[in-house]
Amino acid sequence: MRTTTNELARLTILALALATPACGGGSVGDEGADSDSSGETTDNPTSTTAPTSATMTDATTNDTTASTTMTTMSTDPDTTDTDPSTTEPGGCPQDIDFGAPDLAGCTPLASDFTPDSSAAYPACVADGGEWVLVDEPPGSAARVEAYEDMIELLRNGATPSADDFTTARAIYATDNGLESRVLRREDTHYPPIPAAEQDPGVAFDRQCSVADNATNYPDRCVGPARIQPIVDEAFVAGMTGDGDANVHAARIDAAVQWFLWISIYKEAASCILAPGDCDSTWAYYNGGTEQGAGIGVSANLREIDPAIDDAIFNGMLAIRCWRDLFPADGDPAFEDLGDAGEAMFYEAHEQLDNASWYGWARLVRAHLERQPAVCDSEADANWAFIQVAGPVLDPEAAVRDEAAAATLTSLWANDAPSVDDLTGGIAALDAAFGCPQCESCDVSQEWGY
Amino acid sequence: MLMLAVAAAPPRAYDGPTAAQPATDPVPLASAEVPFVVPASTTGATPKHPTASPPVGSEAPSEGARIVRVKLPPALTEPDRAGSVITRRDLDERLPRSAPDALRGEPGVFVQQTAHGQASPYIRGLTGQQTVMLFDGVRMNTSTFRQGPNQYFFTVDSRSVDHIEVVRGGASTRYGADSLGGAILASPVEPSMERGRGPITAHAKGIFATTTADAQLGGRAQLDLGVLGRVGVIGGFGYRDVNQLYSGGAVRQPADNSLQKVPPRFAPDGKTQLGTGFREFTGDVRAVGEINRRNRITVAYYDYRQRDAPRTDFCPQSTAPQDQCLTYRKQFRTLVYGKYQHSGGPAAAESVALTLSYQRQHEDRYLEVGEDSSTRRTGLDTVHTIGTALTIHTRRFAPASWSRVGVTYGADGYLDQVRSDATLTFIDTQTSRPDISQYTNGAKYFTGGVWGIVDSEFTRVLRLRLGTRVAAVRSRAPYSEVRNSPAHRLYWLTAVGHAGITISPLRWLAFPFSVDQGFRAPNVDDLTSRQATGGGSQFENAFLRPEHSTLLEGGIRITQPWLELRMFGFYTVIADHIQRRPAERDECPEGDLICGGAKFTVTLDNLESLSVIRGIDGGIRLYLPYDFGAAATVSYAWGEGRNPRWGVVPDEQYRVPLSRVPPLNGTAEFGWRSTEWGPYIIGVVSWARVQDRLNPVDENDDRIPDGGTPGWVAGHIRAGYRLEPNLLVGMVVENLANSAYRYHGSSVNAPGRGLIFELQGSF
Repeated sequence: MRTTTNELARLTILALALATPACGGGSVGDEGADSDSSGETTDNPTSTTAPTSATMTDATTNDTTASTTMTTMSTDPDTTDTDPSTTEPGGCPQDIDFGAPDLAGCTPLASDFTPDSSAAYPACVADGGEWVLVDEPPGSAARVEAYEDMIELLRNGATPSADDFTTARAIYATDNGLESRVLRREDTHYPPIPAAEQDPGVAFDRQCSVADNATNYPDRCVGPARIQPIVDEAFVAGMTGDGDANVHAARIDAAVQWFLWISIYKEAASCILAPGDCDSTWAYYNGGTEQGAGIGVSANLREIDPAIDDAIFNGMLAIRCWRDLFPADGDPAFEDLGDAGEAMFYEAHEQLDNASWYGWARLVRAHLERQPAVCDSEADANWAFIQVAGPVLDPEAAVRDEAAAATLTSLWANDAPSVDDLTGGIAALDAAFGCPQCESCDVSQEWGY
Repeated sequence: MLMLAVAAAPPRAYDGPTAAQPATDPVPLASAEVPFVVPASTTGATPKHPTASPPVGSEAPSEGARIVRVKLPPALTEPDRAGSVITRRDLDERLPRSAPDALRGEPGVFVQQTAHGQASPYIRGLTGQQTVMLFDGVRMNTSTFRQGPNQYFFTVDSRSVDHIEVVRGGASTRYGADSLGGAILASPVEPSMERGRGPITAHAKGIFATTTADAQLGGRAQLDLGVLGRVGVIGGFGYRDVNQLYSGGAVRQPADNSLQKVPPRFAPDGKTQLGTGFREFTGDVRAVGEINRRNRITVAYYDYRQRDAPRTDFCPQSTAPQDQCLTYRKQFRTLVYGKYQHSGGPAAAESVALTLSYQRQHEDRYLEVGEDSSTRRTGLDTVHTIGTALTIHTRRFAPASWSRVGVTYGADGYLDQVRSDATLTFIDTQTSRPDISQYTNGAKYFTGGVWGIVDSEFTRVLRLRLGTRVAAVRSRAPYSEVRNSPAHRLYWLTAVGHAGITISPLRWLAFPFSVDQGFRAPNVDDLTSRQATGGGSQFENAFLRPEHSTLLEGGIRITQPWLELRMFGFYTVIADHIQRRPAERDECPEGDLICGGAKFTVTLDNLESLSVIRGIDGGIRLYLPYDFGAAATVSYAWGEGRNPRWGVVPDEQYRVPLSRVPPLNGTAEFGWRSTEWGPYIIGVVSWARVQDRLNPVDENDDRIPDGGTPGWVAGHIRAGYRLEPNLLVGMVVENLANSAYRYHGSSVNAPGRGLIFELQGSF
């Protein structure tokens, strides 16, 4: 029932995004519009990567120039919409086709694991294409369910009430729930906290639950230092009725998805020392469900393109295969893996990481595409989502394509992007994150723990 | 107060850990409720036929006896069962931090501590709801006693206690439900009521105590008034402020010899345990009036108030931010009761004791998730219990010159009403909403029964005991919308029995054997509670069946002027044993995300095949010349039951160790107590072997290091000076080697090297 309801909610959001409601103006291309309507709640806490205060615009005027630009930027011959209301210059919504990502050139690398044929991997438990638990069913699945429950309250197509925010926060704050893990979540793309500053009394993967570490290493301690403040701020605003509830809901959605997404990589890394975390990788992604029927981030990506979901899942299977081929003893250490085990882990981890980056980029891209098609509060909410989710890509984009990264950083900082801006941003995304695979994306020497 | 009369031979000075005076003759099974005078005896043994003793309140010394200002240790309530007594004198020497702490080292007892302000005695491998605790005959167990350790015996103020008796092994016939592992019987200090010493007598007593390991400072003031020797009132109040507990450091995990992470979390010095410390206030008044020589009325009030006691393993929980802490802001217990005692009645009811009681157990928990979170959780649980207990002793009949038969019988009943609320608050918006409470609010629970025990002796050589109890339990709970827990209305009726035989081929030698059936019906905790447990989450099971135990116990008892030995072997079988089993997440109550998101989830279930706990426990005491003495105790329990994961998880064994059964452990002491001058000095060694026999649930329990709890040896010195009855200076130098150790299953490590000091002054 839960999945069905969520699917309905998701369809509702999609329908709203594609619908053509009457509205007072568009949120795209309204640089001159009054910016007060969204209040303070859209401050961007990810200021180290996108140091802007992203005040959303409430469209009150139409910008003909921008509208014209939109038309000219369209490259798809099918962009001519038969619905006159969406083709009105500067109208809202506008049906802009930014073009579909070209995946034709994307093929699995020789080092990639795929269930049907994996030259680089001997036969293993993952060959069946299904997740086989390493340990007991992970509690992380319940956190994904909690995310779905929150979204059902906050993003069901209707503007959430203060009570909805309170209920959603109660779900978020459940003991051993989302908040408990956000408060210690590390982004293992960043260097570990120096050993001298680690608390010897705290487990290796919980160093960010030490307050000083979270303060001193905000990039590594992404959960307490970056994600939690967004969530808290949005909940407070939502619960007190301050500002646009849809914007707050969108920021919560983006922040929690960020947590779930970053957990995929983190749990895969800590799986070396804690084998059960392999299962958490999988469960944080799809709620511990069958492939193709996932919830959470998996469902959101599958809705965009099932190929994304499959690519990420294959990356997980690569990790699972590695763990099967190099099982942990009672007290595993990375050095115990030997050269072959270490190399295979690096390959598997990188496969998963690249697919995950691609998935997140496509999530952001989908919201960029949607921006012209939504109006008013919904447009503000959509952009608020982007302003939380978009900067997540910056460090990886900077490594892959500096020019694209600069474009993206600029876009996230833009409080009132035009269609040109959006188009440029999408092009930059496609340039930096063109495929779920990345031949040249090496694992950082400072990854993991 | 039992100011005992003792004949020419003074009591022996050395009075070690097996403090119970071994009885060579039986006493009524409920003698704790029937005061009697110990006549002159060369061994300090209990009287031969105490129920035929002088009426209640008669304390006149027998002719030829002399008064000494030393109390003899109270006799065991059931001398032919395994048991021991901790006397006031023991308490004054051991200087325990709490009532459970006083039980450390007793045979068969192992005290686990989840927090500095909480401790739970294991008796023969069982604790919590599987043992029963009574205070002056009033049942302390409520329907919210949980599976595993609980903190409730901590709510007995050890300074208001005269003695504590431990009955090891099942004792449900006498003490009702829950007594599978044994019973703990605490008896309070009585007013002295000194007859013949003037119309009004008054004694004041002050106690000052301090410790270094937890920078404790506190004391007690006590006043004892007597009017015409017929009315006595004793009252007192105490306070102590206990700070964070210094330890020997983190223990090493047997799995890899690494230092264990939380719990506890340490301060930067690596020794001071965060999540410890508390404040405590106690107050009590006890009034005793003798209407005449046959009728006595007691009215008593005992109040225990503990504040700000963190639960060490949740400060923080291993999965939580390091500044998270669950604090018991309030842990209160109030007990009020009245007792009427009559003696000299007809043969069928020669002595009668009737008690009416009210107990309120209240706790207020506060969870602060951490500075980065504005989430706060509050839980309020209150259990109101009204109870009654009737105990009757018949006259001790003599059907033949070589035999005696007496019957003790009675009835008891306790009715609980449970109030349980929880609130979730976000402090940044000051928004509160109902949260999932620990128990179903409004649950009611009744436990009671009727019982009788026949005690007979045939010549001096053979004694027999036979008893039975018919018990009834009812549990009701409404549907809870917040918790989404179903309503239940359950009834159980059961009968248990007890049989015993003691063969005494020689006056100083006895071989007691017992068979005892115990039972425990599921309580409100089992049927409705959701709670955190060792980093995981436990949810209720409203379909549990009662558990039943059968104890086979045999032992040897030697009582010589220079030697006392009590050693027992036991074999306990538990049917339908209620144990935690790992639960699948899809078993969690619908909508309960706490359960689903926990590190691991467990629920209670009846094991499908028999559980077994077997072992030995006992003690030996040697009385050496020149007031020297030595004593030792040893305890071993080995538990095994069906593995709930068998058949579910591959490669699991069918039978596994029972959860948190203590390891082989014991104490040894050697010392000198001057009977003439008052000083004493005793060296004590306590020890435990590694416990690496772990239940699958234990392996997930943060309180147990990876691979089990390491073994340990700790040395202590107790020394002091007694100037009876006016002065006592006592001190304990604890953990001489500053060892890092913990009692199996504990969150908090034992105190590091430190001094416990106590000064008692009275007039």
